Amino acid sequence: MNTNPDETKLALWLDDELTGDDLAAMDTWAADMPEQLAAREELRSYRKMMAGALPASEEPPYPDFFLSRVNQGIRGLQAAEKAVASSPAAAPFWKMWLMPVAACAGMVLAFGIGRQSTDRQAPLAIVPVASPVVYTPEEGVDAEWFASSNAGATVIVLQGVSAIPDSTDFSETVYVPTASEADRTAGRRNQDKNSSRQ
Amino acid sequence: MAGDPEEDFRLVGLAQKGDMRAYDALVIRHQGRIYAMIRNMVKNDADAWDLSQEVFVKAWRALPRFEARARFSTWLFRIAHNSVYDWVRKRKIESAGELNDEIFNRDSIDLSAQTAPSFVELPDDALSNTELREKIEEALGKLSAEHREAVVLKDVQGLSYKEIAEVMDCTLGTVMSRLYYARQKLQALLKDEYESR
Amino acid sequence: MRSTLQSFFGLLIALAIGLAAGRLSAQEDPGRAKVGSLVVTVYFATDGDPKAAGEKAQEISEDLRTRLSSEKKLRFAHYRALGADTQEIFRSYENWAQPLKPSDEILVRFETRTRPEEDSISLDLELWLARKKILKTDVQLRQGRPLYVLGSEWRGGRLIIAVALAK
Repeated sequence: MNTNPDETKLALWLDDELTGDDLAAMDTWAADMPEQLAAREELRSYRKMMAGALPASEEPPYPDFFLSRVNQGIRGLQAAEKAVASSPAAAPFWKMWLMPVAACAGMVLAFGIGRQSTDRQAPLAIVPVASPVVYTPEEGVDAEWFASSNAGATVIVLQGVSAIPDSTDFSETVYVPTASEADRTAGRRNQDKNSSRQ
Repeated sequence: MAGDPEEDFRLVGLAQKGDMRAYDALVIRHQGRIYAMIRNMVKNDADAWDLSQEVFVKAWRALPRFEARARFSTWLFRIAHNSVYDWVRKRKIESAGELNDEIFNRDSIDLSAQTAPSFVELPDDALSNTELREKIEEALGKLSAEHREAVVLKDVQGLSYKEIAEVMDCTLGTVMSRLYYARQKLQALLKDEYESR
Repeated sequence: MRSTLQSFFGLLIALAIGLAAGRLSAQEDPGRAKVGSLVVTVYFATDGDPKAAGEKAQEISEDLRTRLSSEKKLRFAHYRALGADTQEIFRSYENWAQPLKPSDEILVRFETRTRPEEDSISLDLELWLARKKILKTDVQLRQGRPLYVLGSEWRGGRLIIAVALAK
């Protein structure tokens, strides 16, 4: 190659992106230019060092949880698409008459289930909460979550967790709250007027 | 480093027909690179984690439109690029010119804090911070998003100029100039750090 | 371009070889801005002898007792507070609570997921028991609406880990 290459070709050559005839031509051109060859070598060293310092691939933390979150997101999209497809605007008009009836029946059923799940005659509380993602990485451990209107809290029940040995002693605990402090820090229910709702 | 493109195409074909296990396999194959790229862009681990998931959810939605003209990984990087820029815009940060460090903090545990647990090495973490990595990440964090992305895609992810142009939706010339400027800026930033010792 | 690249690479190689120990000077870090406080309390709940919790364990208030026992899964005859820890919730960093300090039997790791709202914060939360990650969850905490985790058995009862936003 007798003429100087353009900047694009030079940049591609320096970054090892040329192949075939273009590469051969540039190699020939640079054969008598030690500074060009040196620059390409240094750029190679730089890229190698960058690739060594900053990994191209890094597993996200908690990869199983990561995948379950992706699936949850996809399910959310699918649910949204279904909701759009079955919206009243999309339904034939005769279904629109049936929908309020079905909704009432559904509400009655929900009330019935609601009463049975509480063990005292508390006012019925429908708690619309966004379900959290709950993940237990340890094999054999399961978690069940629910929104407790009675306790005004989210509750997670762990099963299969190893017991703490009875010999374990917590008498050296630095800070033990008093009754009033514990109550304050757990949140007073009467300050949460709609404790049954989130 | 990149997975087998043919295997990607095969899995994409299955996933496009509704095979969710095939899509899970695609996620597993590419989550490492997407997470690494986004983490180098946004610095905050929690945001990188969230954004990476968003990329795969968006990719699933866009899957019917994927055609095997480009690599699946390049297509994913394009979605990642869009997600990062949407994230940046939401934080009302100017994407032109130099960014300040405010948003791009590295998520880490301050082991000197009293709140740290008594064991110093967190059991489940595999932190591989070398001094060099920290210095380079710090310097990268001071580049604008476009310049940082050019370096990350080229010098970390190993994409070609042409692929970078596809991901960043710009011309080859723009990729070249961004890369040139970014590498020069990196030199200046690391030179300052070196001279201050 | 070439001469600047040459000195650049020489610099980088020198850095890689000759780095001295030491951190960058501290800079103001907006990620450390406090966006709230988290209180983690551990209760001992038992149908047996509450003294098994030890002499330092405290009785809880009647209000709290009513609250816990109103939920079937958390209902026990006796409750005692074993320990608590209050820690700051940072904007961009994780933090740890160690309610039974100096014991690390129970640890809670947490960090914000989204920008906090006026009276609620969405957190990524991890519960560590005996140095193992047992539970990971994303939870939205509101003032007055804590998270209760029914956890390990101990001395004839069970531990309840309460996570709440501090006032």
